[in-house]
Formats: sequence, C-alpha cells, structure tokens
Amino acid sequence: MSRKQTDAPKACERRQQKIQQARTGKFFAFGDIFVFAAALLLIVAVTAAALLAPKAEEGSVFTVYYRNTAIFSAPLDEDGLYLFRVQGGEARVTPFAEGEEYENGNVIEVADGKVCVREADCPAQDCVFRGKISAGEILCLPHEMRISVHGGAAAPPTDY
Amino acid sequence: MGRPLKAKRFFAVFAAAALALAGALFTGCAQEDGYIEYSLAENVYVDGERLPTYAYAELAADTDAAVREAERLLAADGAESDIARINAAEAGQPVAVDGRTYALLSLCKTLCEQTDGAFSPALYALSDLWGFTPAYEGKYTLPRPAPDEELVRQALLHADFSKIELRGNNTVVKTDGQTQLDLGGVAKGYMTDLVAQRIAERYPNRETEYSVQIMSNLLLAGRVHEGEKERGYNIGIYDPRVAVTGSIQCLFLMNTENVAVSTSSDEFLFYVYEGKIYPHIIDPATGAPASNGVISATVCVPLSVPYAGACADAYSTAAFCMPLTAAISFFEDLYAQKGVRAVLLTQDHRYYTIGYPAPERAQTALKNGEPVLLEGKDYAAAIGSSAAPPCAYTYADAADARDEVIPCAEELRYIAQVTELSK
Repeated sequence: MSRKQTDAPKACERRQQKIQQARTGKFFAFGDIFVFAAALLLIVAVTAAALLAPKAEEGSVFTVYYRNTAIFSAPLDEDGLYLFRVQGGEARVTPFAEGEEYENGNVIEVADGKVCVREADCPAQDCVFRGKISAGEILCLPHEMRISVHGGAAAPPTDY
Repeated sequence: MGRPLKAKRFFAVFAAAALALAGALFTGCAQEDGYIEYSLAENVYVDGERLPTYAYAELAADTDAAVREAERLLAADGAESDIARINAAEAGQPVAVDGRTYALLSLCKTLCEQTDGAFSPALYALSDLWGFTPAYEGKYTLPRPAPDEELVRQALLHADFSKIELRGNNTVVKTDGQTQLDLGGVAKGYMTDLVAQRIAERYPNRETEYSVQIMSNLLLAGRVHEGEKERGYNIGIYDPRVAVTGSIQCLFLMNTENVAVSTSSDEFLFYVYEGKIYPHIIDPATGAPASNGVISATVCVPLSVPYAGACADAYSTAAFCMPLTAAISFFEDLYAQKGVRAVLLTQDHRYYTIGYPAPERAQTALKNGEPVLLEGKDYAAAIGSSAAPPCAYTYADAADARDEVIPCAEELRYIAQVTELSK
C-alpha cells in the first residue's frame, strides 16, 4: 500500500510518537484517521449494499397447510428447522431440534432463501425428492400437508 | 427418524398408482384410522339442494366407515385381510371372502382380459423383489441394483392371475400356492365406487351430486354448484416433473362431470439407479418396473360404466405397461366403446390426448360445454385468472407416437436432480 511505503522511513519515529500519544491519552496519531475513515466507509458501503440489494427471492414467505388450512407461516430469508407433525387429527409446526424423535412428521428446512422437506417418515418420500424450492409448492399426500411459497409461480384455482 | 404408526404400514404399497390432482387437495373430512386418505367434499347436493351440515357429517362418517371396511379387507399386509389370507393359502385350499372382495376380484378378471394382461393384480411377489412392498418402507427411494434375474423369472411364473379361481359363493381357490395378490393398482378406485354405492343406498332414487377423493382417485358425481349457477369440474393434472418445471399443475381438464378420474405417475414410489427411473408399477410382461416412456397417465371413466372408479384406477396403471402406440390404441378403443378419455405424458415431455379435441379445436369445444384439456395459459384465460402457469409439455398428435421414447434434456435434468437427492 502506498501509505506504508511513504511512511516506512519514519516508522520508528512515528511509533515513538504513538507511544507518547497513548501515554498522554490521545487516541489517534495523524494519518490513523484515514485508516478509520476508510474502514468506516467500507462499513457504510457494505451495509448499504445489504439494505439496497433486491430480496433474495420474490416469494419471501412460505406457508404450511394441513388439510388445506394454513397452520404456519415463516419468512424464507431466516434460516430455520421446523417439524410438521400430525397428532390426533391435528397438525402443528414447531421448531425442530436435531435428533428429535417424531411420528407422522416432516422436517422442514429453510436455508439460503429456499425451503425443502429434509426428511419425513412418510412411506414414499416424494416431498423429500421435491428438493429445495423458492417458488411453487411441496406436497406430502400421506400427511395431507402442503408447503406453498407466496409470490412464486401462482396457479389458477381448480376444483382438484 | 421417527417410525410411522403401525396402521400406516397398511397399504403402503397402495400409495401406488398415485398422482395427485392438486389444488384444493384436502377438502372435506378425512379420518384417522388406516393408511388410505379419504375425503368427501362438503358441498353434497341431493335433488339440487345442498345437504345441511348435520346430514353431511353423518354421510361423511358413514362413507368413511365404508372405506375403512374395504381397507381392512383388501390390504395385502393386514394379517386378517381377505387378500392376506388368499396370499397365505396353499394350492387347492378354499378361502371364503367378503362379497366386496369377491366382486373386486371378479372385476379384475375382466380388467385383465380387457387390457390383454397389461393390468394384473397378481404381482405381489415381484413388487417385493423390487423393494416396493411395505417391508421396504422408508427404503423405497434408495438407489439399488436390479434383483437377480432368475428370481424375477421364477416369480413371474407364479404371477399369473389365472391361477386364482373364483368358484362362486364368495370362495376363492388358488391353483398355485405361490401366486400372491396386490390390489394396489385398483383398490383405491374401487373404494370410491364403494363410497358411491353407500351414498346411493342412503339416498335411493334421488339425484345426488358430490365429489370423493381417495389419494390419486376422484369420483365426481354431478356438477359443481356455485350459487345459482352450475358448471363441470375443473381439474389440474399434477406435473410429474414439478421438481424441475416449478409449476405444480401442467394441464387442466374442464367441463368434467359424472366421471371417475385416476392418475398414475412415476414420481410416487420410485427410485433412480444409474440414470434410470424405476417406478413402483410392475410390468406384468417383463416382471420389472414399467419402462415404456410414460411418466403420467390420467384416465376419466364415465360413471355410466359399472365400477368406474376401479376401472379408471386399473386403466391408468395399465397405461404404463404397454408400448406407447399400444396404449394409445387401447384408449382409442375404450373411448369409442365407453367414452373413456385419457391423457398420457411421456419422457420426451410430450402429451398425447385420447377423447379430447386437439388444441386448435379446444376453444370451440369449450364454448359447447364439451370436456376439454387445456394448457395453463388457455385455462387461466378460460376462468379469467391472471395466473398462467407455463406448460413444460408439448402437444403431440397420437398418430405420430412411436414406441421408442427418448428422454429430453429437461427429463435428464430431472433424473440428475433426483440422483443428487438420493445420495
């Protein structure tokens, strides 16, 4: 870096100056201000990029349906693990802990703006094979469960 | 990983022949016991009047009981089921079965004959060899090499429905002790018929309108009521390659009324091994998973045909087990004789229709109220919806069909994706 080259001959002198300044309670040596200014600028730039960048996917929310009734919704931009489970004719979606035992369930994973069924105890595993989606739907017929991403490819209504 | 309930192991094999006519998939009531998912939509009409809630609830419970009874009789792995008892019986040993089981087996005799053997309910041992019976639950999707050829050849010798004799008086006798039944390709459709029977018994000589769904089988009696207006049903055909196409429904049926509809598809209960899809549907001719290039078959049988539900189920299964041109002429004959309509999707991502007008005539037919098959954009326009899902399949004239179906690039992409997910 150019700054290093120009400063190099004076490095020893400047270190002494800095030690002196530290002792007297002054925080910055002249020239350090540029480093901090550059760092600050970088922080502002990165933050702006994060804020101004378009959202990862159009459909930023997914909804879980049981027997065609919405029971759970969560944003796609927050990574998470959820457990869909049917018990006594009622279904619930709860946070899933690795290794947790379940029956009649699907483990739903959200990562990188996409949702998938990571594992399930249904016989055919079609929902798992559907893979990660950021638009459209995932069906689990045996558990009568449907995951739908909003804002993605919408389908016109049908009777079946 | 959790274990499924014991009851769910029942009929796991019956998830066979599944499809899914998506959309309002899970309406009405569905119950707890057993594996089979059954629903009767709430808008039941008797003589043009909507059934009040209490009467619907009674009807729903009654018809659900009919489904559960049939499930207990027909499950191949229910220890006390009629089918399990036949499977366990020795040659020459008479097995007394319920009248409903006997009626279904009699119907299967006709279906075998009609399809020239492409439909067979005697393939249990082969399904087992290929790993699609309930014993393999949770492992269906594992990539695996083919079973030993000699074992398949041996099993094929016994997989012969003519070795099951129906001797009248609800008595079944096997002439070969090793012949075993699996009604997965017909039982769910048959259950919709039993539901229709139960409804007819409750409302004799009345005009009843309702819709029944048992997994991939629909029975649609009458029409849809929307206030003062009536119309035929609109049905979306599930896209078997939704994993790569992204749109859950690819084709749409309109003006559908008084029919049983069944779809069989190769993306339910299947595995991929060395770049090839092995569906759960066993081809009785080869003893191996069907591989004639069909990836989805939807069949609509008019309710004027006795046991329309069972027929639709068996025909959609049989569509996988014939060379493509044979399947098309089979359905052309059925259309001429009984008004059965069919839609076949193939591995080159074309679709063939039998009994539906070609796309250029579809608009006229739609206006005339005839049953039509439409691609997403035309369907959306027809119902005034702004959503128009793209159709990844191209219409092909049935006359141009060839038996050799070469998978297209999109199909290979799908196979690659499943291979990746199977690891």
